[in-house]
Amino acid sequence: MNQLNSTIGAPLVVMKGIVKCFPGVIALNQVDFELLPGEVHVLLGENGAGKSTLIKVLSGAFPADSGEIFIYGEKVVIESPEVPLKKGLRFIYQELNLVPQIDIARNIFLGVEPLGIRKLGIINTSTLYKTASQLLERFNIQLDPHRIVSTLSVTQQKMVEIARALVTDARVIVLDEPTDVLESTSRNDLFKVINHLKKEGVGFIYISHRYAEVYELGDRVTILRDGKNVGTFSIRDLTLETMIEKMIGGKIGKQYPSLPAPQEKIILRLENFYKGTVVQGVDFSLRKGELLGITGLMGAGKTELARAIAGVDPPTSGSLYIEDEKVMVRTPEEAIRHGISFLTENRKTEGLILDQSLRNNYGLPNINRLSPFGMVKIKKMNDEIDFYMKELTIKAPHRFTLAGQLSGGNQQKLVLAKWLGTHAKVIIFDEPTRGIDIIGRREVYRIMQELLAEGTSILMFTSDYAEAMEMSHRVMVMRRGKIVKEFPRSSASEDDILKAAIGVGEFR
Amino acid sequence: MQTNPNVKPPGVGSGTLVKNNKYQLIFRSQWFLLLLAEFLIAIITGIVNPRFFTISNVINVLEQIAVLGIVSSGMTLLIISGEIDISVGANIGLSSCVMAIMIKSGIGVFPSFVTGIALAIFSSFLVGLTAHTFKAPSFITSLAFISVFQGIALAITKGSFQTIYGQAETIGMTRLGNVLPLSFVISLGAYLVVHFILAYTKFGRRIYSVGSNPAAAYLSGISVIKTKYYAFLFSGFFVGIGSMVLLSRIGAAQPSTGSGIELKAIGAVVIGGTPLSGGKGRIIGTLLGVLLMGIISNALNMMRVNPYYQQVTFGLLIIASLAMSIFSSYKGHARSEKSTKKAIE
Amino acid sequence: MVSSSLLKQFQRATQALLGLVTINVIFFIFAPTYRAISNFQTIFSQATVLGVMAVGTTVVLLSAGLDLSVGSILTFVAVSVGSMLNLQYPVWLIVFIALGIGAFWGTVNGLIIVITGVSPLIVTLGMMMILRGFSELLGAGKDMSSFPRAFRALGSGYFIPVLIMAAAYLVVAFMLGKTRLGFNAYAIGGNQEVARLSGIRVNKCKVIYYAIGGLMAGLAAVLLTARLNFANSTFGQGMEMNSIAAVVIGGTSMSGGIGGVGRTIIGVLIMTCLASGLSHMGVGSSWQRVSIGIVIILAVWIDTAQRKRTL
Ligand SMILES: Nc1ncnc2c1ncn2[C@@H]1O[C@H](COP(=O)(O)OP(=O)(O)O)[C@@H](O)[C@H]1O
Ligand SMILES: [Mg+2]
Repeated sequence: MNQLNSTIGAPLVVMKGIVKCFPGVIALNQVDFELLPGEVHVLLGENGAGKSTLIKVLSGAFPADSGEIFIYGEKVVIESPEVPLKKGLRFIYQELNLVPQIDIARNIFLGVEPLGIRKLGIINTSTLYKTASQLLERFNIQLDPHRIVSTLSVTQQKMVEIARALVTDARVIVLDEPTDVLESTSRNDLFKVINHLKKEGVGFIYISHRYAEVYELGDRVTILRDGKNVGTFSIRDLTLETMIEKMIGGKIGKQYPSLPAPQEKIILRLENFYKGTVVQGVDFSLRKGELLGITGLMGAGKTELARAIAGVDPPTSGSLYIEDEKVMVRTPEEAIRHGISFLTENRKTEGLILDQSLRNNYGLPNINRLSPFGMVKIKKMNDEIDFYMKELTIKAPHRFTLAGQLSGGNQQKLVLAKWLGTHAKVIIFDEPTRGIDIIGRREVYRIMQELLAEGTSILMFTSDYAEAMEMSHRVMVMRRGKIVKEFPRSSASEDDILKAAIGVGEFR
Repeated sequence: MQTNPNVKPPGVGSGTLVKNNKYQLIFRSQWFLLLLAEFLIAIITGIVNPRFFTISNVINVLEQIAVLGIVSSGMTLLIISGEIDISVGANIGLSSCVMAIMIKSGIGVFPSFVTGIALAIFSSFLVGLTAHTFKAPSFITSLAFISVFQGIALAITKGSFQTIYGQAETIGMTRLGNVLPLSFVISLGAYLVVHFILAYTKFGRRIYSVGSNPAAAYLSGISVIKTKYYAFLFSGFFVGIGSMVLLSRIGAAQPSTGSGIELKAIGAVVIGGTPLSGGKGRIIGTLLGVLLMGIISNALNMMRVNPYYQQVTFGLLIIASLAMSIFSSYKGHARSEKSTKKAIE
Repeated sequence: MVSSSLLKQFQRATQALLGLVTINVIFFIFAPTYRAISNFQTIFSQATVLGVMAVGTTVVLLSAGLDLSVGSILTFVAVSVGSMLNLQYPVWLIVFIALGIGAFWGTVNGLIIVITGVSPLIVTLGMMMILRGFSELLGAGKDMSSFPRAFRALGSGYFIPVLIMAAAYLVVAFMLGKTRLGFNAYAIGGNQEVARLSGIRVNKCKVIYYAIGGLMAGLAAVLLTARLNFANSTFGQGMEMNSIAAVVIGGTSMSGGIGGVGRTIIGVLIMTCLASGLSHMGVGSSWQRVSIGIVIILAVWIDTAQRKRTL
């Protein structure tokens, strides 16, 4: 910390012209970035903008394709995660990065255990556990450092990870969307610690896709969009409107199409749906040609409810009626048979097989229909995928292109194509536009609109409140596994939804 | 993120599409390289020992690789489906011992073979069943079953050779038109069946799907478990056929019959371009892999290499060629594959 | 400190302990000859070979590795030791070289695995073949028996072998419980990517774990040749399975990250008592083999059932 005075003002980290490609995606395109001591530099951008990729390049999780990185003014080649760690950079990744089988203290000290005898690498275990419990206290975490990490809740695990970054003297701390899984009290604890360390000259890179947090915490903000740096601004000079505009690359509000009116007939009805402790008695009905939006905070039980309806993780109790007939849906196979399609939130890992062709991906749910006597009708399959490629304007050279090479929006359209082939009555979307750019988004909405017009019903689970409000006939807000509020289309602001999602009493 | 994959980002040499074609090229050329290696080994051996190219030796090679080819065909299905079975050698040992004992005791050749094949199918199924019910990787359960199969075989044979010379030679000894070994024709049949399954049937498409992304397959209404069970059943069937051919050719069986073939079979499949992680692969690659094994083995014999050195060379070759194939074609995919896998877990 | 961590290991392995007691009770009742004190001495001295090997296997499995070649490493070292004794080398040098050869092959395994990225299953299966070949070459047509008394002392009776085994356990328990190398084994076995992102040199560590596995196989070879007073190239076949079984039965997870050497001792005793008891009850060696396979499957089952509860 002594050298700090001499370096104040000089940037801690400079990244220049960073380029990183993944199959089918240019995740970072000539991105410049700079972090000063004692600042909280917010890296803002929509899902899929490349924020996590940028910091993973800095951390050495994977190498950049090109570009230069300077740490404390010195050019470094980051060939492994060791390099930035040794220089006092700490990373809290978006995904949980703990070893589940070992205890809290060992996780906190992973790779930096206090040594008794340095040369032999012998660890001073009593210091290890003592320091760990001190650190936990500082965060108001009432946890025994001997507890095995796998027994902790997601929030607790996140707190342990944050504690991990603070265990040794760090000069740069990178937090990738840390508050996504935190409750508001632990959020405040975190912000307190950040503000404290800031004064000591520690630089923070704080990644978020929520502009609300920017004003609360940030000094400067760099906005990424589609892998490009759109600009770096001082928070004071930036209005909310321009920030959002820069983030999504267009004016707000114009992207949602009009929705055709739903019909009277009820297609799907849930009664008293329970799934473990995360879905706590949900009832609703969905009409023909209706789009019902369900929103809420992360962890409110949206995904669990979606998966329960789709038979992926069947409900613990409750009934499901399709056109007034009670049905059992315990596997995706049965769901498909009853005309329910489910588009998961994890397009890349659960929706598609990235290293297979468009056609084979199309075949996934349709293969049964296309193979009488177990023999695949290849010609028919080709015709159908060609049809949908044209119909949904999937941009790909041909049907043998690998799914992994498509952009996010086109991948989502491919997932849609695959389910349209099954001629479902109800399509369940979980986070339909996550990681999709604005053009792709509009097209997904247009397809939804057409589906509704044809009489298909849609259940849309989303954490994007604007999308929930503007794209559904009705919005229901979920909190702690229950439906707590319902709004008709465009009748509420994002703030109203947020209040309902958090629970108004607890808000502030 | 770029919507149009053809647009090159500044500072990047090639677009992603170009990259893909390059991979496909390497993938194809891996088979080409295999063939080339086979020719080279053949030519060198031929120069050292001209007898290598005699008809009788070529027939000999074809006969030698027949059983390996049959077993490898089944293994190809299994590995593409994301599973593995390293007990196939022990399985051959057990089923061929059972066949031999039955034939010896006067039960006809045909019912004996059928029983043996059924047993092989059952054994293979057990490996899959335990792997699934105990949520353990199949390489572990199959490892455990090696002891079980070998132990049972030892118990029923009391460790002794079961000879049936002259009683069931038709399959192993017949040469069509006095040249082409029937056993080799059977192995060709196995390749063809597997090719047909993989290319034209629903089951085949499902095998690829569950092998490369079980989560996506399951969510698309494919029963992952059932598909994998079928893969084990098929593999077991081919193991049974392999045992039958082997027994018929050798005319004797003992518990250690077939031991070590698992490594050769896995090696042949992977050298042929099917990654151990599953989801990809073609039977033509396996065929070339099996051929390579056969040629190397024969070449070593021809060059009069001490059999123990042969064993050493074989082990080395398998590791080396697997390493090569991983270097050449999977290195680039490894990261995305890994991260996808992690996300599934 | 070491003893306390050892104690903790024991506590966590109560289940395995229960199994050990149960099978002993059964054999006590049904196999009269099993009860003899001399039988227990035999069991202990037999357990040392498997025990030493299993220590190494524990380290490898903990880090989510797999080494199927340790049986063949044992063979190779045994045959090498045999040849060296024939050449009248001093005993301490022979032991030293034996450990060195074992560690060497372990290192080779580790290097191939981390450099090529071929799965450990295949690499070590291949190595198993290679080393069997080498052992045959080395041991062919040689009479390797009647070793000097100083060497035989290492394996005779049960006191010295048990002492050697205890030393091996203490060293490895210390390594796992008190050093970075040991902590890293749990981290790598638990989640390799997390370990890498935490700045741990995953590849270097892995090679060391395989080396330890090989070294312990070498030590096991010394104990075995010393006890039997001869060596040949069929030694140690199938030992890798017994070793893995002992470790997993003890309660170390096959998928890495959970376990320790304390519980491995119990696993080793279970395996040895089982073999001894079965033969005292007149069960042939082939059925013993079957039962070992079944025991492994049971252990894997218990392992997954437990993981489901804790994770
Ligand atoms: N390991 C990976 N393999 C392939 N594509 C990836 C990988 N990581 C990120 N991407 C892609 O790169 C783009 C940027 O992703 P990311 O940096 O995670 O966005 P953000 O963090 O801003 O939400 C996305 O299109 C994403 O799909
Ligand atoms: Mg991110």
